[in-house]
Amino acid sequence: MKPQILRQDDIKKFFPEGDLKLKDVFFSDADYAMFTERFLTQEGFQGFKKWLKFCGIESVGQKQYWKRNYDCDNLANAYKTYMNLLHAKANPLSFTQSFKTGKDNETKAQGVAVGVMYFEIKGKKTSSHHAINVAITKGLRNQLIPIFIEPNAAGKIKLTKQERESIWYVNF
Amino acid sequence: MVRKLLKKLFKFKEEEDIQEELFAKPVYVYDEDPIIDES
Repeated sequence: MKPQILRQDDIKKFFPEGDLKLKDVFFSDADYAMFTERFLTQEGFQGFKKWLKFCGIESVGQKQYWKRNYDCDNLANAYKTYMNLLHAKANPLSFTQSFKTGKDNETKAQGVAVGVMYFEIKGKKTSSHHAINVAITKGLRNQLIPIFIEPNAAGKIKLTKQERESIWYVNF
Repeated sequence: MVRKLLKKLFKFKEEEDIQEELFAKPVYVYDEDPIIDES
């Protein structure tokens, strides 16, 4: 049994044109493997926090890992990078190494389906923009779903309809 | 063996120990979930 692979078009279906402010989804890879929701929000998330701590980014007070010079966009990019590091580490063989040894990586997927996403948070009089992560994974009913992850220590979160409609940038 | 004891005694970590601690093995979504035969 091999890890399931998504192509760019498979991911685009989760961000339908017209429903969102989003004009297009950006991709850095041709295809993507997926991690389980449990891994993304529990074991993997704990590892991400340890990795931040190792880099000297520690959780402080209510704002958790947030710093003025290391804020939401940095944290979202770091989470995406960390998950891709795990994917690369779990599949270490180059094409030549595979050919010479006759061994294969677990998956040939170029990346893992974790993206960085920006949306708008509207207050009564003000509005601001926020970066979080979106990941494609398998839901409880065995269907593929996007889940939203707040990398600033909160893990999986839900967005309101208004927030979902305000998504304006997604990069996998 | 001696190295293991020294590591335990002096509580030092080698690069691979740190990597193991920081980088968990990911759990992938597979094409089909395994069918569990409970018969």
